[in-house]
Amino acid sequence: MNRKKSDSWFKRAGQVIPGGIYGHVAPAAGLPRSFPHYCKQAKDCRFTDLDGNEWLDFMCGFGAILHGYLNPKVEEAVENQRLRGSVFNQPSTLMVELAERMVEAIDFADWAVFAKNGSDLTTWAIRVAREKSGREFIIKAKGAYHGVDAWCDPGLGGRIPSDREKILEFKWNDFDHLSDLVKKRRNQVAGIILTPYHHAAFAPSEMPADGFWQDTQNLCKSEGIALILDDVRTGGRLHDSGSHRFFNFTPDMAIYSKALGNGYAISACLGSEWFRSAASDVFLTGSCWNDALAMAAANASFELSQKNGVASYIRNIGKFFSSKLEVLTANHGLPLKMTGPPSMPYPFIEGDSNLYKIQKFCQSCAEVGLYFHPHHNWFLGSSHSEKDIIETLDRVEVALTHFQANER
Amino acid sequence: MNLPVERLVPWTLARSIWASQLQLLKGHDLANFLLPRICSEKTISFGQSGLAFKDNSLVKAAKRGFAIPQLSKFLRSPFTSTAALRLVIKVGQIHQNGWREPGNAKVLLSAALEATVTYMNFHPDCVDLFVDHPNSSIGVGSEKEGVFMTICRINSQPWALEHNAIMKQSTATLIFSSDQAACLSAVGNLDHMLAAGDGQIQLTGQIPLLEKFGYASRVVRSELPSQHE
Repeated sequence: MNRKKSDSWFKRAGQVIPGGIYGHVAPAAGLPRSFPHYCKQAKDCRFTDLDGNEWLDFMCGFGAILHGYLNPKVEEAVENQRLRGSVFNQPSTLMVELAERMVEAIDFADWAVFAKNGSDLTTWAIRVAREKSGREFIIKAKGAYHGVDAWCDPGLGGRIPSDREKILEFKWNDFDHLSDLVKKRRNQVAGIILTPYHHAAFAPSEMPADGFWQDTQNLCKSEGIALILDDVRTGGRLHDSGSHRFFNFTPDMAIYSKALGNGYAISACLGSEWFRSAASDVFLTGSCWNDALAMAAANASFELSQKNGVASYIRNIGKFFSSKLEVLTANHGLPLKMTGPPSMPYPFIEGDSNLYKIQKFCQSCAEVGLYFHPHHNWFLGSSHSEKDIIETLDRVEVALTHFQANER
Repeated sequence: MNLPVERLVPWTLARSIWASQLQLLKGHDLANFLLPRICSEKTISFGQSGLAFKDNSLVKAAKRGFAIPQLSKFLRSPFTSTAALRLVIKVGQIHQNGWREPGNAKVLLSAALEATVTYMNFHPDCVDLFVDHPNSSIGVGSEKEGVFMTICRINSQPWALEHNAIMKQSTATLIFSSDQAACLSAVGNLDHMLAAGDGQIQLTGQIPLLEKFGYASRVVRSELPSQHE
């Protein structure tokens, strides 16, 4: 694969950007010599890298694209607003429309606020929980990702011990452990923040055990603890009106981002009436947070999801894809299991706890233009058609011959 | 072994010198000639040679390239002490002047890896990084030779550097594209993120373990005195 331009720009980046590319798209986090460093353009579920290589994509901008790259409805809404401007002294009415739309669709919600990234609002939501209860502690699942702030980031640098003094962790699905933590800190826990299911990187996804969510909800209710749902990654891919509906429980606050703007930066926190007053007392703002383009995109994107039943579609197409892929790889002696929900499956090969095989498999797939990530859950979107999936499986068949040749 | 925090830096320097010597005399009977030992009165001795340095002298030696050993011990066995001192000086010269020589890659890497392993065992922040890795290993090598060193820990025992590939598949693997890249990395002159992106290093297996290892190595780099600063 040609990667001359990509490498050349990466070299330039290294002079002026620490690490060249950072965060979850840093080369070391993926397949540095198989994935391109830079993309040029994208449409639907395909993108072209800087060197002109074409890829069938299964990451959807790491979840930010739900309706396909350059979705015409979303782009039209953005273009209409662009002619009027993006950031003003005051918000546009698009913000009110978006809040109304989301509050109407998301059953527990009575209010909404907006920012740019998931982190902005996961951190804000735990402060709202603290403001409401006057308590200090927050509980999260070990290994869960809730953003880039010091209380939760997965990085190693820039921390001081006090950053996490008030953060307690339990093992996902271990309700007894969670319950013990609450008992030991009775009347001290302000909130429990959780993702709808456990989607840690570098590990198979874990769905909630039977009764886990109901027990957790009851515990929060009886102990006066805010149940905060981090739906940033999952929102729109399990249910069009919030992932709590998919698992049948009721949070007090929920945060959405990734898919909300279909590629335009926006995040939302929705909450119940009980937290409205506390929400208005916890300061919230950002330079471009009233950006009308992102609000226009989110209005269009959310409407598309509601109108077209997008979550259901991608769950089904994901199921079709995952089941066929599992069979195909098994036929070649590779016990690949797609864990987690089929709309955002995480690939795991049995007996490959050190990840060498999945890395080689994804490298082989990259050689035939498939963007399969070895360490992160994949994302499907409404632009993945059955035809795209069949083409993908045909390419996987070719990749498997490369993979097996490399294994020998 | 309990190591007071203030003795970590000189102890790490001593372990690095020994690791370099192990590589220099690999396969030789005198492989453990400079095996360091923590002594009282803030002194570290090297093997049975009679060569010993005060902690602060070792730190000075790392900064300036020279320091005076403990003369009373030195004079008790002058021949072996002199041989040991010459070996230490040779190691020092390789680190000071020889880091551009690809042929020194393994000697330099041994020192850098041993220093990091020492921090992984004794530096409080670095120890904490690896609590979730009671049984893990990192294979280190080059494209040309494959894995030639292994950092490993079994059943929560201290981490150790082995100067060969001790297992078929490590938890994670770090491969340098060339000896030159290995030399640069060993003296802290290779940006690990850029190097992963441009292929000077290949990271495979459990990447989070390598991230932690890399972070520990940068803690070492920031705390250990060096003439490359």
